[in-house]
Parts: sequence; structure tokens; C-alpha cells
Amino acid sequence: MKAIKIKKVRVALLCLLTGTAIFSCNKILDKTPETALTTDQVYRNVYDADAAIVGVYGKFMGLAKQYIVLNELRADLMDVTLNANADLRDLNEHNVKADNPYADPRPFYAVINNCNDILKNFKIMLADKKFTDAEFQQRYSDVGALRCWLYLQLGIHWGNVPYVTDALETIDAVKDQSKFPVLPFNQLLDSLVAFANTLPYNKPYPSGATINTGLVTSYDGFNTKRFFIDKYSLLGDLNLWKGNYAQAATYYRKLMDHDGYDLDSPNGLYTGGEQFFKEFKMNFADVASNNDLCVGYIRFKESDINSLIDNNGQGWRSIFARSQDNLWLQQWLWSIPFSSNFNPENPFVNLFSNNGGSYLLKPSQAAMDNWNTQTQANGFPFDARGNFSWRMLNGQPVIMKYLYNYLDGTSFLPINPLKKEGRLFLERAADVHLHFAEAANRDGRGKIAYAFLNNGLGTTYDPTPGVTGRDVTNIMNTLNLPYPYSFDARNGEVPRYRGDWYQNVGLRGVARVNPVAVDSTNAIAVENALIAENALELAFEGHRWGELVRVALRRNDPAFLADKVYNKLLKAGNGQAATVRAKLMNKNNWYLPFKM
Amino acid sequence: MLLKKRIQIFAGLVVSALAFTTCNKKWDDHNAITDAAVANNLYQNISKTAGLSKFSQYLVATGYDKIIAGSKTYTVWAPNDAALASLDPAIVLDTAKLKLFVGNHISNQSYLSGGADQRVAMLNGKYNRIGGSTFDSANIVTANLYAANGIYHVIDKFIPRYDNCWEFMKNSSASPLQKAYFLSQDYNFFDASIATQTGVNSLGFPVYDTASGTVKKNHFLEDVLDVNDEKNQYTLILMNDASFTTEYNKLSPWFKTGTVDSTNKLTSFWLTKDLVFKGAFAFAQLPDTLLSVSGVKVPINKPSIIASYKTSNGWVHVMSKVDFTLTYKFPPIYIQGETPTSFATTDRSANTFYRVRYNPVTAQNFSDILMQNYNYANYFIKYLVRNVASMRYNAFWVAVNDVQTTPLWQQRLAIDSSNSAATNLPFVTVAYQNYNEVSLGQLNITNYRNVNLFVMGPTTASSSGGNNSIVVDYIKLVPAF
Repeated sequence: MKAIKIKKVRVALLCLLTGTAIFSCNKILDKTPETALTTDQVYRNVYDADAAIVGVYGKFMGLAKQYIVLNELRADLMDVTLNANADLRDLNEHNVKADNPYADPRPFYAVINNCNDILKNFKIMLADKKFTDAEFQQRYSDVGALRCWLYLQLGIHWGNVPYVTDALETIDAVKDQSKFPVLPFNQLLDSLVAFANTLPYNKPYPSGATINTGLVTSYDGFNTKRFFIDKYSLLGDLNLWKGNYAQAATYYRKLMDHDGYDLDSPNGLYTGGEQFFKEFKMNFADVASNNDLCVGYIRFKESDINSLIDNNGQGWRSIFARSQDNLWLQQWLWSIPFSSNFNPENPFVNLFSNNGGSYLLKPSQAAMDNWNTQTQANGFPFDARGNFSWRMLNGQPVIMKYLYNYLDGTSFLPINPLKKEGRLFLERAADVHLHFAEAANRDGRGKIAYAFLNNGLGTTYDPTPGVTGRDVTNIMNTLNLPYPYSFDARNGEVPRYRGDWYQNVGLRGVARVNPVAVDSTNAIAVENALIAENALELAFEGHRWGELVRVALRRNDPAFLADKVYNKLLKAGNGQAATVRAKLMNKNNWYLPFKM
Repeated sequence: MLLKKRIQIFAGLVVSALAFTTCNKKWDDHNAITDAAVANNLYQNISKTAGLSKFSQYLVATGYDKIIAGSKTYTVWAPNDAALASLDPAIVLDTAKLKLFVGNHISNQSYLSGGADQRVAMLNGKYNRIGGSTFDSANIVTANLYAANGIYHVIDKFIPRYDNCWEFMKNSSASPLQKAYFLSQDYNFFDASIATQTGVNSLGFPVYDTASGTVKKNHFLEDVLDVNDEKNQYTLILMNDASFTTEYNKLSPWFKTGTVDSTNKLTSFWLTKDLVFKGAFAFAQLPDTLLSVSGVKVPINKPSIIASYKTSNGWVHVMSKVDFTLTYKFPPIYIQGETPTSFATTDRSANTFYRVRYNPVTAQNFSDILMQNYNYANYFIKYLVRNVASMRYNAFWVAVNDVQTTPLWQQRLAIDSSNSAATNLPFVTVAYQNYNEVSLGQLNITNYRNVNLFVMGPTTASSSGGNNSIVVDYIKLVPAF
């Protein structure tokens, strides 16, 4: 009797359960997820498009660690510490195995794939009239340029890579060789130049008072003005890599002249105000206040080591420390902040800091020697940029450029060990000037390159620099040269001249080091000096390996690159130095194993 | 139906029975002690080991049997009976001495034989060298015997408890004068952390029983080198009285002071500070020159070594002669220009530059101080030099004028006073870009003391043209004896 009752109950329960399952299931599945969007919820309007762009840059920031490690550790300015693991050591010694996480191209393709998806959908949106032509052009060009930049990095490090421009469902589809043939670096460059030349809009997102986009705004206390890739600098770089020197110089010149940086002005050119003479111009110091981006000393105490301007708010060091104010905008073209308020986490504290980080990488002895063999204008036998790029902390040489927002400016202890503030440095005016000089030099304008490298246009094109009260109409300019080499750097009182470039003092002028004595008619010597200057000015900022590869490829001289790396390992007492040199004498060994 | 049920129950019983019977044994087996050696503690095993009966007796007599039966891990290097037969009966009869002796063969933690050379702390506070199949100078006869709480090795020789270098000096009569000086540096130090607190005074501060907190310390050990420290190794030279007197007389003229006592103290310190060395140098390993802690080269003439003694933390050599070279004993004194003590009272910091420069002569960078156009008569930079021995010094400086070819300014060195003509050295013209040392003349210091040096500028003020300038890289005082 009891047994039967229980059986009945069981059957009833089963029916009930089945019933609920069948009826309720539909509803459960129908519920829209709260933290993800479905395909029909995106790309509906310009705001969705902006969100997609912010999203892809967010993902792009995840490449920061790999980008810096690959470009610096493989070159001659960065070295491993005793704490570094085998993966980093292998990179340092050019003995990279296919499973080395730093040699994995997949993270790059993941971002490229996002770009491809966005580009495809932007075109669809345009066809569906979901945003205007202008809105489309600005955004399409931005994402397209970012993709080019990523491919350029892939080419620099992996050499032969598949060039994928279709939106793929998964990254693994890249492996399909029939669809996406592997392109040699040179052909890849052709494709990139061809694509970049078709980008409809080369200026930054408009940010003037009258026309603005939602993309130039403030997020978490950071202005997004320079979050996005600068198309002119990318176009210049691609053409410089390709050997189209005049074309490259033209793009760089447009950038340095602020083409498109002020839409409020009638012709889109930035005019008026001090900012115009300073922004992207490598301008002279404010010797009275020291509120500048130059290596400086307290006025009238220039010969005193204790008066060196060494703080987070003034001078050359502040390039890497200061907040995004007008001075910062004079130097930075592309830089994205890391903050404890949002993801991803800043990877650089762990890489570089010996306080709160793992201290895996340090400046190479060769890099330190570079700075210590320069002489400053006041006779000090070192380049102060070295003091700001690295510092002895607790008896260890520490790369400082990435740590100024993390460490206290005077005690060099973490402000808060849990708040790993910092920045990803991507492009700044000094790099553009060096690249412009490189292009000009190869285009037969060695003296222009000399001026940009050393003490600027005004001084270089002045037979008697320093004399006052002259008529400067016919000096301090290169207006007799064709664009992009025609500069007006005149600075005179009677008649009064303030040429657009009158504040330019060159990279070494800004750094207060004596000019390099180099014959400006010797293109190879000038180029060597430019690459040497890159090591002093832009060390650890993720440019070095590309510079070495580009010049070595151009000259078809593997020794140019191999000797630099050899010299680093030799000075570090690394027993592999000779082996690595022999290896790098073969161009094919410059590239990482490509494994998808 | 019924049959099936019965079979099922039966089968169940069989399975559970099997499980219980087999499981028990397996479980017991897997962690049962099968090796008798680890069933017992170190003391139990040592006492059962043939040939270690005497050592076991001593373990019991000193109470170490209880310690090595404890729950910590130990290593025992046990001398066998044959070895212990030659042990001095005086040690055996004195429990305190015996305890130190036995404790010299036991360490914390397990040390297997065959390891790398290292010094290991023994339970008596001394360190012995182990490594390979040796324990200090003894050989390990039977290695790596184990017990529940550690390892023991049988060795063929006992290792006496040695005095350390400092203890040896105290117990030795080889160098009475040197010993007297060393002991004169003893002082009593009150250490509140070990003192017994007896109450609280009216201000609320603790009151201590001073006797319980008093520790004996020694200035020489603290200021020069702590050769009483067991952890590290040292070499100490003891000079016999004759040689000590000879060297003392050689040095004492340079320590003229107001009282005999202070001259005595200074001379003795200056002599003995270069008789202690880091590192253990046995007779055979002694080089012909050792570098003392203060960087003085000390000639070691091996035939002058009367005796050498091994200590628990190094070696003591008794010598009949240590012929110090005065130029090594009194190296030149360098005063760096960029570390001034003070300036003339008028503030001229706006004209003062601390510079970094490259010296093509030495091919090295240097730091210096430059004062330019400071517009003040008789301006000076002052340098306080401490503990200057009483002798004559030849003075030099490196003063680099790389700022002006004309006019070439003059500056001079003075001692003790900035305005006494008697002690001023003559003015020297600072040549353009001269990176070499420039001779300035001789200073005569008649008493051992601290000396004020002045680098003085021109006697008339001038606000421009660079006449009023002073530059100093460094000043060098070379003893002229």
C-alpha cells in the first residue's frame, strides 16, 4: 500500500519536472545576457562605432608588454636581470623557441581581427546610412591605421606573415595558407603602403571648439586626445621603411606643422599662440622658469650639478611624468595611460621596478655607456637624459621612464604599491624629428638632418650664430628649398621675424648636449649619428629593434644590427656574444619563429 | 526471488569481510617502520653502536643524551673509543669542560657526508669545517648513520674545542704589551634589554638592577675588527714585546700630544689596527704582504713567525718582527674639494658650482667645486681634516680652471687660520686647463690633532672678469716624515 503510494508520487514528480523544464527552458534561453552584446546590438549608430574603437584600443593595450619586450630586449639597450626567466633570456640571446610566449603572434592577430571586423561593419554602416561620410572616414582611417601599425610590428619581428584583411570568426583561420598566403616583409610593406594611402582621413579626430567627436573626451580623468594612432606618423614610417623618402618626409612635415590639429582655424592649420611654435617643434628651453621639456639647470647656476632640473613637473624628465597638459601635448602624439581604475593592468611595474615589481629587465651596460660618453654644454661628461631614463635604486640600475607615475618623485618609493599607474609610450615628437631627419638625409638633405639632430634650424643656417641686432632676412631659413624641406626659422628684431620654426633647437639642443661633429654630406655618417641619438633620446620606449632592422635592411648590412647586439652582450659579460653575432649576420635569424 | 536475495546478502558479506581483512594489513604495511635504525633517536642508536661507548658515556655525563633525544634534528660526529683514549683526563673529570668538548661534535640539522666545504655551528657555539668525508681534521670512518631525529658519523679523531683569536690572545702570554693595550680597550656597557627591572621611578621610567645588565665590550673589537666573532674567520698577529716596542717607537713621534697617555693610546691603536685581517691564513697560506682592514700593506716575513696557532675562527701568528713601512702606515690624505666644511661668513652660494668634469690625464671623471666672480676679499672655503698625525706634509692640489684663459686667478692654501701670514702657503696661479697635481709647499703639523685647511682667494674684491675665483678638485697631503 505504502509502496504504491510512493511510486505514484514519484511518477507525478517526474511529470512535473519534465513539464517545468520544457516550458521554462525557452524563457531562460530567451533572456538577453547582461554583460555581452549580441550582433544586432552593435554598429547601430555612431556611438556604437565609437564604443567599438575604444574597445579595440583597450584590447590593443594588452599588447604593451610584448611590444616593449620584443622591441627593446632583442636590441641593444635593454638587458635581463638575474630575476629574468628563460623566455626573456632567450629573447636577449636571440635563441627564441617557437613556444616562447613573447614570440606568439596570436595576440597581434586577435587585435587585427577585431580591426577587420570593425572595418567590415563600418562599411556596412555607411552603406546603411547609419553614419555620415565624415564620421565614417575619421573612424575607418583610425582603425585602418591601427591595423597597419600592427602589421608593421608583425613584419619587423616575424618577417614573413599572412596578411589578413577579412573579418574571421576565429584566429585559427589565419592558418589557412590557401586563403591567406604568407607575405615576405617587403611585400607586406607594399600592401601596407598601398592600403594606408587609401585611408580617406589622415588628421586626428577633430577636437576644436566648433567641431568635435565623442572620441575626444575625458575618461577616468584622462583626456583621450592622444589615445589614437597618428596617421601622419604611421604614413611617414611606412614610407620610410619602404624607402619613399620624399613621401615620408612630406607626411612628417605635415605632422610637425600640425596639419589638421586645429579645425577651428580657417585652413585646418594650427596658428597663433605659443603652442604653435612649441608643439612638435623640439623647441628651446624656458631658462627662467624651467617649465619646459628640456634638460635644464637653474638659471645662472648651469655649472652646478645640484641645480639640474630633476623632478616630475619640469624639464626632460617630466616628459614621462607630467599629466596631459599643454607641455605634454607639445611632445606626445600617441600614448595611452594605465591606471588602477581600469583594465588592463600596467605590466611595466612588474618588468622594471625593484620595489613592488619583479625587476626582470634593466638598462644594458652599452646603453649606460652611450649616455656617459656624451658631454653637456656645461662640460659635464654625461648626458642627463641618462639620469632620467634610468637610475640606481637600492644599488640596482632601474629603468625609470615607466615608473615616474608609480614611484614618488623624490623618495623613489612606491606612492601606493597596489596602484600601478603608468603609461604606454608609442610615439612622440622626438621620434618624428629623428625619422624626418633620416628621410631627409636619404633624400639628399643631409644638412637638414644635421640641423634636426644637433642645434636646430636657426643655428645651423646661421653663419654667425649668437650675434644680435642683425637683419636675418636671408639667413636662418631654408625657404629656397622645395617642400617639405623649406623651413623658416628666422628670429630677428629689425625687421622683426618670428618664423614658424624659430624656437626649434634640435634634439641635442633640447638635451643640452654638445652637437655631434658629423659631415652632413656623408649620408652614412649622418644616419649613424641619428641611430646613435635614438639610443640616447628614445631608449626603452619600444623603437630600438625596428630602427636597427630598418637601417640594416636599407644598407643590406647585417653587421650594423649584429654588432650593436654583440656589443651589448659583450659589455654585459654574456658568453653568448660571439655566437649571437654570428647568428645575426644571417638576416633570416632576425625574425622570430611564426607559430599560430 | 528469496534465493536471489540470500545470494546477494551472502555476496555482500564476503566482500565486506575481504575488505576488512585485507585493508587492515595493507594500511599498516604502507607506513610501518621496517628499518630499525629510524625507530630510535640519535642517542639510542649511538649508545648501541659498537666503538662509541665512551662517547655515549660522555653524552650522558653532560646531559647531551637528553638533547639529542629531542624532537629537533641533529648531526653528531662521534669520535670512536680509540680516538677518545687520548683525551686529556682533566677534561673528562671537569663536567663543564667536558660539556664544551662534547658540544663541539654536535650541530643542529642533518649534514650528510660528501657535501661541499662549509663551516657549521656546533652546539657549543663554535664553528667547525665539514665537507667531503672529513670533520675538521678528523676523517669520517662510518658515514651517514641515521636515526629518527638526525644523522651521526663515526670519526677517527676528536676535535678539541679551540679558543677563538680573541680568547687565545687573552690566554696567551706571548705578547704582554699588545695584550695590555687590547684589554685596556674593555669597557662596561649597560644593556637594558637583558637587565632585571627592579621598579619604576617617579618619572615613570624603569629602574634596573645595573649589575644584571652590564656587558663587557671592547673598543678595538668594535672599531677595527671583531675577531671575537665565531661566525667569520680572521687572522691575528701578536707581536712579542721586543718587536712591539720597536714598532711603537717608530710610530710614537707622529702622535705628539699634550699627555703621555694619549700619545700612548694613539700609537698603540695605530700600531695594532693593522694586525688583524679578514680571512684565515695558516702559516703555509700566508702571502708576503697582507692588506689590513684599513687598507695598509703589512709585510709578513715568515722567518719572523715564532709560532702559529689554529683557533676556532682562524689563526694567530706570534711574530718577532713586523717591519711596517711608514709610507704604507701613513698614506697620503685626500681632501675632496666638493665636500667643504664651510665657507667664509658671507653667503656666496649663488657663485658656487659643484661640477662634474672629465680629466684627460687620469682618463676619469671627477667632481670639483668652482666659485666664480664672488666679489669678496680674502674669501675662503674651509675643510676640516680630522686626526692628522704630527709630521710635515707636502701639499698638492688639482685645481682645474677650464672656464677662462684670461685673467688667470690666484688662490692659496692656509692652515688653522684664514688670516695668519705665518701659516699661509704662497699664492699659486691656476693655469688654464691644468689637470695635473700642483705642488703647493710644505705644512708642518707639530701635534696630532684636527686641522682646518683654507683655500683662499685673492685679497681684493672684484665683481667681474673672473679675478675672484676659487676651484678645487682635491687637496693631497703627502707625509714627509
